[in-house]
Amino acid sequence: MTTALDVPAVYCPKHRQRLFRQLLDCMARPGSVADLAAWIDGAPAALAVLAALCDSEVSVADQQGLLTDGDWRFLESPQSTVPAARFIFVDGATAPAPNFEPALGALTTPEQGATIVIRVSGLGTTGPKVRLSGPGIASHRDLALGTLHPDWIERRAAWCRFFPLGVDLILCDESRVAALPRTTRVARMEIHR
Amino acid sequence: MRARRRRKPASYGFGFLDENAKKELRRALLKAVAIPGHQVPYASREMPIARGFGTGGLQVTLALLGDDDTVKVIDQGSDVSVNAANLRKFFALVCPGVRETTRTADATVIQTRHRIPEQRLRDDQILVFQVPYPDALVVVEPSAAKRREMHGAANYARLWTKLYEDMVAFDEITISHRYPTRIAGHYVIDPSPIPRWDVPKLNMADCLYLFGAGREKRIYAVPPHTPAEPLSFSDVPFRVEDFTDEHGHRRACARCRATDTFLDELPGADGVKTYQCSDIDHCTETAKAEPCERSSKSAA
Repeated sequence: MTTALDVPAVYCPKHRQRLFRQLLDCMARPGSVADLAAWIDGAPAALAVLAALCDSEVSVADQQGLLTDGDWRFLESPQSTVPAARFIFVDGATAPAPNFEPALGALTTPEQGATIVIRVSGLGTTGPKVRLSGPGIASHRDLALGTLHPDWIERRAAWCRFFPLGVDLILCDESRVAALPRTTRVARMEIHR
Repeated sequence: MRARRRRKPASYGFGFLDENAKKELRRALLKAVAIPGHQVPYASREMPIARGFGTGGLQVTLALLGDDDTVKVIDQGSDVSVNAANLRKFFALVCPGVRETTRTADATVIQTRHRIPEQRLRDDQILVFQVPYPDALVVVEPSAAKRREMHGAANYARLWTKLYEDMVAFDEITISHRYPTRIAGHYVIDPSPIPRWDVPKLNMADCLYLFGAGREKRIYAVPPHTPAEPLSFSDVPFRVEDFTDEHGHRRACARCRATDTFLDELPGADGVKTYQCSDIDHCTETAKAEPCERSSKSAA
C-alpha cells in the first residue's frame, strides 16, 4: 500500500518541473522526441505527463480505465467524459470510437480544446513515418508514430481543420514523449522498400 | 560599504508560487505554444511586487525555473537597473540552486522588459517578456469580448484601417514600439513595448518566446521557427529605427563602436547627444573582443 510519505517520483515538484520543461520543448518543436526516463522512476511517460499538468482544477477522461485508483488519488483530478474533459487519456493502438468527440474550444476560447495524451509503444523508432511541418519546425521533421492507429491522424486532421479550434496531442510510449499541437501539418510519407 | 546582512533562505516552496499555481501557468503555457499568438487567460497571482512591475513575466519565469537553470534579467537591455537587479535577486532567493548571470550566452532563461538581446538566442534558451498591454486590438476596440471575437476570426480590418489612416495623416506609421505583429498567419500580437528594431527577431527564431501579462492575466507565445510579420503595406515596407547621422553615416556606439546594434540616445549636460548600445552585455562583449577599436578608454 502507498502511504502519503511514499510519493512516486512523477508527483514530486522537482520532477514535475523537469517533465514540464521537456513537454514545453516538445510542444514548441512538434515531433521532437524527449526521453523522460531520468525523472519518472519507471512510471509510464503518459502518467508523468498527466502528473506534471493535472490537478483538482482540470478534468481528465479515461474511458478505457488505463489509470489505477492510486493514480487518481495522486492526480486529484475529477473524472469526466470525453466531450467535457480538458485532458483525455487513451490507448493509441486502437482506433478512436466513432462517437469519440473531444472538446475543440470555441473561436474566442480555443485554449479549451482538449489535450489528448495517447499511449503508444515504439514512439520515434517503429511504425509508419509521417512528415511534419508548421510552427516550431524549421522545414520539416519526420516522426515514427509507433503503434498509433492511423485513424488517429485522420480524425485529428478533422478536429484541427478550422484553426484556432482543435486538439493538441501528446504521444507517449514507455518513457518518451512527442507533441503534435493543432498547428502541425502531418503528411504521410511514401513507404520506400 | 556597509556589510550586507546575510539573508536567511526564504521559507517558501521552490519558485515562490504554490504547486497548483505553477501547474495552471504550465497548462496555460503549453496551450499558448500550441496556439501561437493566442492570449490564454490565467489566474494571475498576487506577487511581492506591484502589478505593472513585471508580475506576468515573473510568474512565467517562476513556472519555468528548475535548480539547473541560469537566469538573466534585463530591463531595456540593462542587467543593473533596479527592476532587473531586484527580479534577479528574487529568483536567487526563492529558487535555490538557480544561477544568476548577466551574460546572454550563459543564460537558459532570460526575462526581459522591452528588449530582445542583440545576440541571436539559441534553441536551448527561452525569452520571457514582461507585457503591460497584451492586446494589439485595444487601440481600435474597447470591448474585450469583441476583441476576442475579432482575434478568433483573425479579423484585423480595423487595425489595418488605423495603419492606413496613419499613412494618410502623417505619411508614416506612427507606432514606435509595441508594433502589431502577425504570428503564423493568424493572430496579431502586441509584442510588448520592444522597439521596432527587435520585431524582426521574432520571425523564425531558434528560441522560444513567452509573453506574460500579469495585470491583464494573459499568456501568449511565439514558438521557434514560426513566421512573425509586422503589419505593413506592400508599398510601405516595415522599417526599423534609423541610426543615420546628419552626414549619412550609421552612428556607432560610443563605448564599443558597434554599428549594428540598437542605440540609446544619451543627452549630455552640454546638450551634446552621445549614442550607446542599449544591450549592455552585448556592448561589453563587443568592447572586449575589439579593444583596439575603442574610441576612448574613459568611456569603457
